[in-house]
Amino acid sequence: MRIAWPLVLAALVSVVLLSLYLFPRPELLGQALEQGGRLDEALAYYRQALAVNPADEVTWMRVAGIYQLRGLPEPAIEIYQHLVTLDPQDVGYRRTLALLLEWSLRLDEAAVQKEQLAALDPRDVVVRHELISYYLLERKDYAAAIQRAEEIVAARPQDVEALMDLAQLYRLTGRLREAASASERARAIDPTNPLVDRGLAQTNRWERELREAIAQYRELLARAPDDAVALSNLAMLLRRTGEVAEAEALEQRLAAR
Amino acid sequence: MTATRSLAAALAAALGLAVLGFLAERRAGEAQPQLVSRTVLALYDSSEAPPNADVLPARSNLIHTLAEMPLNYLGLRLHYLDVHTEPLPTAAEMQRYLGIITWFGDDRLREAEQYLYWLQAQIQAGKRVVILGGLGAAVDSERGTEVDYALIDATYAALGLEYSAANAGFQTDNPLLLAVRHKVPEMVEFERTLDGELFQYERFRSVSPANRVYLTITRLDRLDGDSDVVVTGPWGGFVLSGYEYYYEPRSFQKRWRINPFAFFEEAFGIQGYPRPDVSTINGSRVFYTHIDGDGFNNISEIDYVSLSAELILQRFIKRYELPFTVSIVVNDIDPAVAGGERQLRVARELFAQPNVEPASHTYTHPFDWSKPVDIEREIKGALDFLNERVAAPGRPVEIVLWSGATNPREGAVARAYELGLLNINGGDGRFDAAQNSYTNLAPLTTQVGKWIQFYTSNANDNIYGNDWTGPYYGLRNVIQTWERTEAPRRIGAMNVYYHIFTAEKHAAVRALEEVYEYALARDIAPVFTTEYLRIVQGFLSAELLREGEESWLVRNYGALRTIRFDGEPRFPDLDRSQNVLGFRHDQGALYVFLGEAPESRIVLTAQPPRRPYLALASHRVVEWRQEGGALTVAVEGIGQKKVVIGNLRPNAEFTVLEQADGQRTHRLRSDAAGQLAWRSTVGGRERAVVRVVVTEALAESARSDGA
Repeated sequence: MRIAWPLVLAALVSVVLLSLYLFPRPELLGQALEQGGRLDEALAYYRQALAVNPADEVTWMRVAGIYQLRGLPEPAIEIYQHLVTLDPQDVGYRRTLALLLEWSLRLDEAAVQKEQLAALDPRDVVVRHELISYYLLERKDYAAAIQRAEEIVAARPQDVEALMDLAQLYRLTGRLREAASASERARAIDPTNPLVDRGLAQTNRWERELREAIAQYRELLARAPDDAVALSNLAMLLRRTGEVAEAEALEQRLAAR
Repeated sequence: MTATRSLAAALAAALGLAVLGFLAERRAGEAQPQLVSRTVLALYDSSEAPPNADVLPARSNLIHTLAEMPLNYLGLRLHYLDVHTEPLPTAAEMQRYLGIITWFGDDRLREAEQYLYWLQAQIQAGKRVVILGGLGAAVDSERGTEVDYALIDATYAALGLEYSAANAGFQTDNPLLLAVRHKVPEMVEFERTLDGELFQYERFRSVSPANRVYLTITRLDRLDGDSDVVVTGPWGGFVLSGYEYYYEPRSFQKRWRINPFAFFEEAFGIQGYPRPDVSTINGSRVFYTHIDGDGFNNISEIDYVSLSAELILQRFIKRYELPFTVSIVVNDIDPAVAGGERQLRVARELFAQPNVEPASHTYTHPFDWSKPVDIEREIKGALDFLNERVAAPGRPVEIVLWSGATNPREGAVARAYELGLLNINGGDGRFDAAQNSYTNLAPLTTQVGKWIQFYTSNANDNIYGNDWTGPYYGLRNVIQTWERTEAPRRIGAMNVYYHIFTAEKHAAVRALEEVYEYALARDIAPVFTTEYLRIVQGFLSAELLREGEESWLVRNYGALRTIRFDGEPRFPDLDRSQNVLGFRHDQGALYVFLGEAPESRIVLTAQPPRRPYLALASHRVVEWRQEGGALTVAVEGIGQKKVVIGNLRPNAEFTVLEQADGQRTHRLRSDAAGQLAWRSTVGGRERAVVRVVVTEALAESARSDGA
């Protein structure tokens, strides 16, 4: 006996369609209602779907979307906080969560999510730029900003602007050798860029001025060991070059006077 | 005996005459009120502005963008002068100024030497001079020549500062050589600490004992490296570049380093001065709404049927008992362009609402007023159309809301003035977690040639909504700005500013509802936008006359009704003051409420008042009478009214008559502090006068005094 496969297939499709018609899946009904602008009803169907399958991430997103359309960011944020626990590796959820938090002026929480994003994607330069801005402006944390700038350079080693940016941050925090090194890398990539040369020259000048100042005070203190201003200034300069032990010794001399 | 009596009588008479003479002389002395200037000359250099910028140089310089807001808060108004194109004022012209402020962006100036001579002359004449950044006049920009070093040094010397231009101030940009020697953190680390951020050095030595040094940095590679970089003195104030504010180039955000309120107050020598205050009416915070007409015809996503304008009408204007200033872009309703009968009907209905003030948002909504614009059509054409075809009889358009980049040129503003129109837009101040600084708040106005463009108090839905790409509920964040501008100091009005297109979106409508509910739960003084602008006009025109240490005469304040004294624990002496209805102490400041008279005298005293006074009112008080034991207060405006009377008998019951369309009688109880609060049982969208009579107020108060 030959089986009429096309007929069987057609019958099966009909059964599926009929069952969908008679017993529609709530999330599909929700979508249809949402598209028609009937948001409250859509929400009710999505809730039904989630009661059956609480791990349905797509429906959670749709619910969050409705909350946003309704102007209710707080429950939308809660949903994305739930979604990032369901799927901690998902960059999209986390980025949306960070954005929603930012739009609700919850900047510190947004930064936490951006940190996670940075950890998830070492090549995400945008989020690192945002974090640098946050650390400099809101937290005044140059070390954290530098770390993100270093990661940008690691992700884009040929990016002259990223190298210059990093060099600038090193320079402002007194890490002159690293600043020079970053500038030299930038110059190797773009030897004609005057801004790179200017940054490098500035770094070298600062380094030279610092060394000269230290040498000058050492000489002075050899002649006048009790000069309080010289002791104090030299101690501070040495701390900036990382020569802490000598700085402490000078400070003790100063205190003992 | 008779002779003795006669002698005694003569002595008594002589003594009496002497006393009377002394009193008369004293009165005469007191009767010489001294006009105190509130105007600061703001010098800017238009050659520093980028060429072809869409914003006028008077609006892009640092004085306007950063300093003017706190100066306004301190009660000062600015007059801008472009040193690149305009002559410096003569000595006679300088009479009107309290002082001068400069904040140049470079060291090049036209006729730099003449400028420095002029500046020295001003200091010698006793004008307060505030120099931010530096003198800005090391090079003559036209000749390209350096200014005589001795002249620069002499100019700084006039400030009590020693400087060596020949050595370029021993300047360095090397932060590794710099350290803080002395600082007053409250003055120099207002919004940002200095740690690790010393990037500028020039050596200034404060050599005048009259100077106050707030920040001394030192150059570690020099034994004589101390430099006083934030200094005030009887001459004004000085801050070296880099120590006024911090700039973060990635986000373009700024933070004050100096405390601009404290610094400018001290530098201009205005501690204890009365400040005309636009933020407050009778203790309540001024509140106004203005709506730009954009999106009138946009179909709303709420029902996919209504025009956004229709929804604004139904969801907000008819619902909230608040004043709304609603503007229309004529193109949207003109049947010859994008309008039709439906649009005209809706527009007429909008303008006919009792709580709507009609406004123009121009004819075609120019986006950039620095480009060629048909001013006649945009200003007069729009006005004529709206008045002839839309406005309700007797209620013409009195205000234009600038469109697009809100950067009108002088011709446009002048035309608005000629037509008797007020104007607003631009400013868009914000102070919240994302823009967390007073630097983001706008001043009250900007000078456009010889005219004034009035600024909004807060940012709008389009700004909060990232150019309307979302979040559409962004306007709810204005609440945070209101909170941060309420405490620790109240700055400016609460302004709900949005576009008609906001009604397109569920989220935006909900945000707006949230914003209105927040406002209505607070003590606000709701006014139309023109009323607010007339208050600002009053701020600009107000004159202060000092009559003595404790007494001030205030006049020409127009619609402004609040005078603030900062850091003032004293009270107004209600017996000796004139046209003072009441007062409120808030956050260390004394807010004095003025009545309707054109001139007020405010006499301060350490003694709390003994008679009843106005402690708060939600609207302008148009009548205030105390007679026959009764206290009568009449307030006028739209919406629910609230009045609080102070200094009544504590914990006592009072009969309060509420008179509007009829009369209602209430029995209300004062609190433990003797304050009696009345809130109207009816509100309404109509402008109305409600009279409140507290019948036994004075008798009760007298009993209180007696006790």
